[in-house]
Amino acid sequence: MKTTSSPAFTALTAFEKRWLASRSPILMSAPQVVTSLQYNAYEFICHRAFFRTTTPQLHESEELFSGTIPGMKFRTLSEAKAQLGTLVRLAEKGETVVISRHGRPAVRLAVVREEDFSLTDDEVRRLDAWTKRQRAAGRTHEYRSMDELLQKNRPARKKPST
Amino acid sequence: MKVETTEAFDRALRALSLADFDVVASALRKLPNAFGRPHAHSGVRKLRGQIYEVRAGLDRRIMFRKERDRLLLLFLGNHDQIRRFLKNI
Repeated sequence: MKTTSSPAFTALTAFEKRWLASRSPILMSAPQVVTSLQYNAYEFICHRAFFRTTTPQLHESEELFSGTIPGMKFRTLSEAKAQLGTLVRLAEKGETVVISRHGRPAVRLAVVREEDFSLTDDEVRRLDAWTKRQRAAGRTHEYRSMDELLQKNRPARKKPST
Repeated sequence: MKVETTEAFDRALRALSLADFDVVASALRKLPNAFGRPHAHSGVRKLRGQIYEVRAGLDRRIMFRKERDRLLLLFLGNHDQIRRFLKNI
């Protein structure tokens, strides 16, 4: 892991650094050794345009960013491994936790919602219609018992390759 | 209890390895007796209406419908495969 400040980070204004510090304590915990890995990934999450070294167009207003750049907990893979329990608790409370890998955001921890594991009305309707179509087309099979089903559909044992 | 299957289910069942088939078979054998016994840890979960899913192994699920005299086995796959199936029908 590199331990030099990235050129983009060095070019940030005091306000930008303050703003970043409020959003990502890890990023600002040691400004002199902010890794390009962390910065690049954070930059990727945020709007790149805001942090271009050539056009730092930020205004001294927090309102500008509310809604534009969501507040996220950002961790590298090794940090996440060390703090997984804490991060999961944060995610359960509704915080968005992003884990980066090779300098790019890779996965997001999110709360599992009940609707992720149930069916919507539309899915039930389509499933009903699909079942009717399958039955009408003769694409269903009837068995007298579960054992009969398992007997008739047992996968063939693969022949050992010679 | 009678059992009815869709071709998609049969295909998925035949495509399993023998080890995976044994896990699925074990879940299926317990299925007819699982209803009405909520504390039997059968892995059966109601999705909506008469549509249920039963866990068969760590990530494999069997989606089925309970009808009056039979179980209609609709689909076998992991969470993502079931989501994809529901999207494409």
